[in-house]
Amino acid sequence: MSLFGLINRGLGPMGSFPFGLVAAAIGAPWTVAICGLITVGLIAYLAFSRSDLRTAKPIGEV
Amino acid sequence: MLLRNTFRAFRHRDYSIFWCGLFLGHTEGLCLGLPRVIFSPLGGAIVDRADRKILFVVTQTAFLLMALSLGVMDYLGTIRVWHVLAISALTGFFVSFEQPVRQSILHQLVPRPELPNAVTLYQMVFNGSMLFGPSIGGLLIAFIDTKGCFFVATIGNSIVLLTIFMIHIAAAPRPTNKTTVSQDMAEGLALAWNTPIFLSLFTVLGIVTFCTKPYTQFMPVFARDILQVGAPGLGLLLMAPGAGAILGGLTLASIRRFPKPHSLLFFLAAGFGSSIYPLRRFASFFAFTLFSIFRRRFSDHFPFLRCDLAANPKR
Repeated sequence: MSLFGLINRGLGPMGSFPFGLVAAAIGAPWTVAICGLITVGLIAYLAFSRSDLRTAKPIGEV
Repeated sequence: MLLRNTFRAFRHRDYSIFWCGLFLGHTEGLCLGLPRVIFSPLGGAIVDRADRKILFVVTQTAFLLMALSLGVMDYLGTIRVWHVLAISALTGFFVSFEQPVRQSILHQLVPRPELPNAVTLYQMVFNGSMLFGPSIGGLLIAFIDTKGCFFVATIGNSIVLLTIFMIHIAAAPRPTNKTTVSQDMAEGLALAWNTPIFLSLFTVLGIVTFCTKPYTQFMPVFARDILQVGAPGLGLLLMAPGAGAILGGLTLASIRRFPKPHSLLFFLAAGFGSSIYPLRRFASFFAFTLFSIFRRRFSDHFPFLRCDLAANPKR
């Protein structure tokens, strides 16, 4: 739970620092677009590379 | 010569002030986030050992005192930027303990089959208040000033403190083997690293949180420079994801379970990322606001799915 909290609440503000610096250089609209592209790219990579998530089953089916 | 060329824009006074303001704004985020990252593993280990109710009371009292001290300093006119940064860092520190307490008592409050629903509703009110909070605060500033907002926050924390005494929080079971806090922290990190399902879920969460949460920081820029809607428009822009959070939460709360939560997790994570991409082109305030509601519905499905998938890591 603490690791969940660490990632869920800690990484957001941590991300605002580097992306804030990027925004100062190239502007907020393109920074937001880059954030979106990085997310999609990394999630697509993870979806194809991690088989354990694809085979996981929900509560009640175990 | 190289340095002078790299930082040449700083020769312009107005740009230097603008950049420093932006840097300071994001430093506040860093002050808040860094202690959370550092102390969260410690918080989890402490929560497993300490009396959860006492820990909950201590952390809520700390929040109350911090809000009150900001209000008093603001009222006296002695508040400085470093005060806000220091309070942010302290908030991050106490949240590292308060959040594991809150989440660890959820399963004591409802039966296990109702846990995903409880997590969804918990996340809904949490995300909703996080997103509605700034906009309501922005509106309140016009009437009661910033000091008034700090005092309202103090009252809010007092109410939370009272509710802690109204619910039964069982003490954590005593560990059978005697391990130190550092051993417990290392064990928790090793469990997350070595259990594939945990590692994958945390990675998905980490990517989405790190890359997409900061978009809210850019809303003032969108409101002022791109959409040109001013402070009222900014308030609506910040409220729109809150509405999405509540709609998404209500949708999830009504669903008992998803047949393929892993597919949905990937779809929503990618959906959240791809939904913020088009924001760079929107010049219509209406379209931007509608899209903000839609975007937030993606992100609010995560806690439910994480809870659903992570409940039995060995499967």
